Amino acid sequence: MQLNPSEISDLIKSQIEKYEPETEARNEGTIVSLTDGIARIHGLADAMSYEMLEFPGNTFGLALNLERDSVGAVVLGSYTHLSEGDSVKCTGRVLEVPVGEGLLGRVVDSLGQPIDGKGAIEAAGTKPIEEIAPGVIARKSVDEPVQTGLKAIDAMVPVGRGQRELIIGDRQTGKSAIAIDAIINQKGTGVKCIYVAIGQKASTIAQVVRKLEEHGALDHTIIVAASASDSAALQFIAPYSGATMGEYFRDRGEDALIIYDDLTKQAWAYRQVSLLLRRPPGREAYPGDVFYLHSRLLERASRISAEHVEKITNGEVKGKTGSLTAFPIIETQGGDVSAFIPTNVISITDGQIFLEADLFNSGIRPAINAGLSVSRVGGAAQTKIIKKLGGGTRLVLAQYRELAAFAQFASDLDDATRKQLERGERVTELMKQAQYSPLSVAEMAVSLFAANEGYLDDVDVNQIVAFEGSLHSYMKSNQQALSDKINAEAKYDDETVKSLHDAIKDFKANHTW
Amino acid sequence: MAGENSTIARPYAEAVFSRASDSNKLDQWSDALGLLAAIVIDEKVAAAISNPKFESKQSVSLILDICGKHLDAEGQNLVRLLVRNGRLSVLPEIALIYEGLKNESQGRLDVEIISAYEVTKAQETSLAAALKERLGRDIQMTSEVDKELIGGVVIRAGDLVIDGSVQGRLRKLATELGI
Repeated sequence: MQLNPSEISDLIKSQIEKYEPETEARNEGTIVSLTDGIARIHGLADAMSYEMLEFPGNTFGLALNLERDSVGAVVLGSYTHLSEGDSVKCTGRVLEVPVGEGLLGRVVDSLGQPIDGKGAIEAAGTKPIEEIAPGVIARKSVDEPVQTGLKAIDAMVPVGRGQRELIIGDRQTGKSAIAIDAIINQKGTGVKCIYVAIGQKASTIAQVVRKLEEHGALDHTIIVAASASDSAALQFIAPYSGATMGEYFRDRGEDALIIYDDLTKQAWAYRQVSLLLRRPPGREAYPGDVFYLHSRLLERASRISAEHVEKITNGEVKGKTGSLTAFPIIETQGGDVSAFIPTNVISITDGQIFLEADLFNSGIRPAINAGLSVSRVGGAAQTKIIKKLGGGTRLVLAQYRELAAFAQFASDLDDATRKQLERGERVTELMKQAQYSPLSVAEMAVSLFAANEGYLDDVDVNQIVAFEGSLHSYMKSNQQALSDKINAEAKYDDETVKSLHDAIKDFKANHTW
Repeated sequence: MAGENSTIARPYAEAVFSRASDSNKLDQWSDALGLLAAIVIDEKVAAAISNPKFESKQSVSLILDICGKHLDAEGQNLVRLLVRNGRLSVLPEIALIYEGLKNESQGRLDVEIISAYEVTKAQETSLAAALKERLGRDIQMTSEVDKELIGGVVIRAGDLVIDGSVQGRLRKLATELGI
């Protein structure tokens, strides 16, 4: 902690002033057994499900199993100082985490405690980590886009505010990279981001934090970190803590984006806790409620109506809808999407972005499989101009894949087929995008427009990436007004079309790439 | 595990309790169970009955011989039943649950008072009266002195703990300050 001594004594002073000891009647029990972070407690007849329990030495636990004669609880954090016979008290509260604007730019653990050495967090209050998702009446349909800044996603699998879009793929296929780019692209849009890292290496988390800082994206981001060395209990509750922090923004009529990286590891942590609590194992040794584990979490990502926001904030915020968009990440083993957890989460979410190792290794990054990736609700939310221009991309790519497979055997092809193949090659090339370089709507529109109108047909395939780069810088330096107009209105009308034609013609005639 | 033992012991305790209240022998049964529990936890007896070479008939006669005249016919039957089911080791839990049931049916509650200084008779009666009002039961009080509390009292009634000690307050302050 980088606190100076005077701060500490001020803090203590204020706490002493506030401190009011009360003689409180509390339920007490004793630890009968303590194994692998799971305490079985005798007594505690009044314990509630998910209640925080107080162990000696400022340690807390979570009551998970309420049985006739005992309570099964998981200790949050270190349990080496506890022993059999220690007394455990009920706190009468369910587990809560701090919420509020004060968390932005900070790195916290699953309990909302800062772990970045930047001092105490000024929270707006605390909220329980388990909240029931908004009901049917409170919701509003998804109709505003979340721009990820990635051409391939915004054109082919658009994501709307309040949607749950799964990112699924093997290890090392760029799953987290997509999520990080999406966070970076929210800079200046007012969308608050929460990145929940579950079971990752602490070094990886540190790297993510540094990258976000470098790109100026940390100021609108909360990082909830439950690294691989944290206890399974902390890894299992981390997504719920993150969701609670995100809901704070949603319920105040703002937009938030949450990334769960990744839910496979959370399911592992939950499996560990469940097996230690002696809950019966089911398929792949997961407990029976592993579907509910993810469904109740992802159901909290939603878009709520302005009336509901007004009701929650007691009329403080009027006429603003709130949303929490979720990007859960699932890691598959050897591309097997029919395993238990992947099928569960695929069925819960509103679509998936499917990443493939083969594509990644052949240099197509982001390695999105256009055929298997879908967005079930995002189409309604897509930016008008991108919808118009990007509509054909999916089809072109899908047809190209199909043709490319059998064109290998055919020696001479008819003109139409060859043209389709060439177009496909170029679109595939165009969908490539470097990491940490999200594009604006105008940049995307120009690229897609060039491809649709055949301006790329006479550009060498190897030159496509360079062509696009130069085109974007040309747009920036020579066509600022047009770019600004597209970014602001995102309309696809005759005037825009004409300006785009003129701009690209001018670029091709007078510039090199 | 304690939880499992109580699950096994509960049906026995409930059966004994309902038999005892039917035949109006609550106190006799209470004594009998207390005695049996004490015998079973005795090291030598425990070693003998858990010895696989020791036959069940021998276990029965061993326990009945120790009890002698203190156990009536029904009590002896209980011992035989427990030996046959191999559940002698849960006798202490049976006794505990039986006491709980008995206290509950008689509207009594065992309360333990731990204080930093000796509690006077007057204090004890006023505490008992206050607790009776709050918990709605007749209070059976046992008191104990623990200098480590520094001041005040801790009242323990089953799971319910009312901590009014200086030590408890200091611990709470420590938690508040995060030390």
